[in-house]
Amino acid sequence: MENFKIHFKNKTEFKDIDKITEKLTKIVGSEKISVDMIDKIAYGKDYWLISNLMTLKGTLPCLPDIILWPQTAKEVSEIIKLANNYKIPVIPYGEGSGVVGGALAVNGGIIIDTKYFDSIEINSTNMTVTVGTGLNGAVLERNLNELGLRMGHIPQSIRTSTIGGYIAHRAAGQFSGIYGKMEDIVLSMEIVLPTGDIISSKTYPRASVGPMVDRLFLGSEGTLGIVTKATCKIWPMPEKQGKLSYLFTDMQHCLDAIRETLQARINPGVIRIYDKKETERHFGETIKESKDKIMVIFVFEGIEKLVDLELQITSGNCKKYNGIASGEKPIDHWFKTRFKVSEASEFGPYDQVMDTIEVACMWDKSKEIYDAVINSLLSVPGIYLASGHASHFYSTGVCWYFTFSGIPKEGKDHFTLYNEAWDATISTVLKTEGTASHHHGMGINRGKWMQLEHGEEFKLLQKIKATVDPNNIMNPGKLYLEEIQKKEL
Amino acid sequence: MEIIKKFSKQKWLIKLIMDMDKEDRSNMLAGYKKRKRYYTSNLTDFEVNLKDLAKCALCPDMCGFDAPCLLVSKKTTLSPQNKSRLALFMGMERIPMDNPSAISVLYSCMNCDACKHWCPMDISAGELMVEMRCELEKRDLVPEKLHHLKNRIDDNGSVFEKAPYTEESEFNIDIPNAEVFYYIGCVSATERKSMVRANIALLNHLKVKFTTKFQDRNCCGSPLYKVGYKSVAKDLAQKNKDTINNSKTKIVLTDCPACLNMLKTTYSDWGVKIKPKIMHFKDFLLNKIEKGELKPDKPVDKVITYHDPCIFARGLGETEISREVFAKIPGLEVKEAYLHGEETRCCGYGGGYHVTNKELSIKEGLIRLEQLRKHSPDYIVSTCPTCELSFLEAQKNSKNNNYTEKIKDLSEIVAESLGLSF
Repeated sequence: MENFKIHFKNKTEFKDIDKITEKLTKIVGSEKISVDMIDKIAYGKDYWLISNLMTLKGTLPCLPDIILWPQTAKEVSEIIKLANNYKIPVIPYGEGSGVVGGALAVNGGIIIDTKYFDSIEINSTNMTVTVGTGLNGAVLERNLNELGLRMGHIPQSIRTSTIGGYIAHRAAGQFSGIYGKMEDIVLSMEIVLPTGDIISSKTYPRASVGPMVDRLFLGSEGTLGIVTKATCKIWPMPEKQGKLSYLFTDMQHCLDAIRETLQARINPGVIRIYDKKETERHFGETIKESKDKIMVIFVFEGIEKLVDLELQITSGNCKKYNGIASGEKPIDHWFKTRFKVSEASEFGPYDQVMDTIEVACMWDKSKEIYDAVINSLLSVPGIYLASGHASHFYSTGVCWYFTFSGIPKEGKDHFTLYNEAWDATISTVLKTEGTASHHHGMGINRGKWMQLEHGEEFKLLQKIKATVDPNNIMNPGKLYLEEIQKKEL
Repeated sequence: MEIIKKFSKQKWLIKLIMDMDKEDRSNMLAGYKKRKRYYTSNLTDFEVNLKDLAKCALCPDMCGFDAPCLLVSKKTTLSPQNKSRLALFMGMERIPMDNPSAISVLYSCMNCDACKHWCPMDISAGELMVEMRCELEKRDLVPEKLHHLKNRIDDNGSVFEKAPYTEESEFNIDIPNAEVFYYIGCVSATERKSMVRANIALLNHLKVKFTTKFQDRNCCGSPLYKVGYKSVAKDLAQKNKDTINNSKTKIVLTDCPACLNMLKTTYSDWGVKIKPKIMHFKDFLLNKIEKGELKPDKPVDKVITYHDPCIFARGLGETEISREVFAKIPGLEVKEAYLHGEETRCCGYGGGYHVTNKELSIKEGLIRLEQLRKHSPDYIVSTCPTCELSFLEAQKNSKNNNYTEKIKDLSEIVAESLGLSF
């Protein structure tokens, strides 16, 4: 397979690879290990835009050395102990839908596919589900729905992502307004540490027993261990779903209407603001009156009486800030199209650079960050489209989701344009006191912002990593890069 | 301009293009014009739809959660998107066409079209895999374990070792002046005899003059086409057309959705037109019940769960006929599986999967069987002999020996309600 160019070429060749393979085979069995090039090609990518551009060019982002499918935490533990002996990287892999290069084996090594961790145990008194972290999100939701239950974590990637991925990235689903982000949903975890030790945290409603150790692993992106099991909150299917949409002319007005609603303890499951460009793109054809307007949609879920009250109060707030009611049609349209992800497939072959960046900020910076990021993106030569929507809201702030598109000017390549757009966005966000990512994680292309994001606490984070993973075997090349120190705003 | 015409419905895009500076617009148009280089292969006589292959390869696998090969194998390599990506690399000559592992991936698909059902671009990775398998056949690269399938169909017209279509067969019936040709599927004739007997009993009850034309019939070609033998399947299509069109047949009745789909849709796509009406038994029976020619009035006091065959539910987009038939049968209680209708799950036997990946095929059959058993039905009913065979095999291969439910075809239920012995 010498026809392939490999982008992140492994610098170190593992000398004892045959011996390592032999020992790993003893742990997982001959059918649960592969060194076949076809498997390596499949596991050598994720859904980072750059990975996708490489597919069209016939380039591979990276090539892991070995792929394993362990079935128990004990097997994972033995694999990790062996990896420590040979100082070979270990990268956990769910379904590879991450968009920031987090699952790429940039230094080669062992991929641990977690898909055999797919158990489901429901406790309907406590309303919890204990799941294997390799379970696909939509498969879990289907299983729960069949019993009249739901976890309610519905990211756009739900059909192609795992519980482990959600935990590793502190993911957010479309209904985060009610069900919360993954850190709100997870109660406890079983974790295989980078030394091979297996730890389990206790499941409790709340406690006061010293620091919450397992919280460290939420958002650790596979760098501090492998979460093999998690207990999460579940809920009954809602009695009623309420839909509401309003059109605004002024962005600050719609932000204020939503802020006041949330601070009055009204919790819509879904709130989405589409700026004027995105309103035109998503609703231009179906909602004619949306021309030159900002579309805001709400979805409420729960007991009928409560939902009706929430609809009433939210409507009042929208009207107070000059919102014009736009009925249920925009929400129906959103429900119909919310999983239709085809932009990369449709526009990728046109050699466009097109990506999204999600960030978060407190309410007092919300409008400022939106304006600043749009302006900074449009100032990048070659970027001809910059737009935004907001998709997750809290009583304290908001998650902005920016979309950009461009083609490199003469003399520049796609990768440079891509990095320039990202740099422009993240540096603007950090300067404006925002946070670099809301739920996609840092991975490769945001790793360099870790120190600026965390400030002084980054040193502590590095010390923790060095203590927990002394040989730096867990997903190396992510989050704690040395280059982070060198990057300037 | 071509691009303006293409995106005429997306006004925002047109506006965006018009507002760009000259260099950006020129770059964008250049990118658009050059897109076809990604859809072109230098391989000789390579006929795969590379545009769809590229689109599928660039998707994040939005169908992955329902793709049975991925679910049973737990190998990301076998997700629809990854299969397309590997096939794309084969088209680009990055991966040689004769790579055994890549070939094995191309055959790791049950052709159930669950992927297409969820696809935002309406692409069937299964169809793309069939196109790739046809490329393998052109290059004499079809895996050896599939050769016998072709040989058997050459020898005895069925996928089975033992010929079902013999003069001595109880199903060899030729009533003079027959206007109905009962095109018995090879799985039906071999493994689902009770269903064939029920169908014959129903035809006799209706006093239909029918033939099974055993000496002249040919395999529909579906099992061969799905694994890559397109040219052989086309020859069979031609032979079937000649046999049927040169007879007095007015209706071709089949008990197998794969046969129906070939005779009706695939042949037609190949320009081979079968003149008589082609019907599956379920449609025929509903028609007869609605006309009052069949009166299923004997109560069948059973709980059933219906398994929608993927060819009907997703391939042909039809899920209601069988349920309408059940509604006409007194005493019958239908309890639906959670995954039913268009969201039905594969039985594990599609696309030659049982031949290429026997163990996983049985595993898939067991998973589906357990889903169908959730309401403890008396009968699990389907309208596809292959699905029914899969569930029978799953019962046999399972460690669980508490199976009490029976696997039945819809025809058997109708015959039971008419009090027919078969």
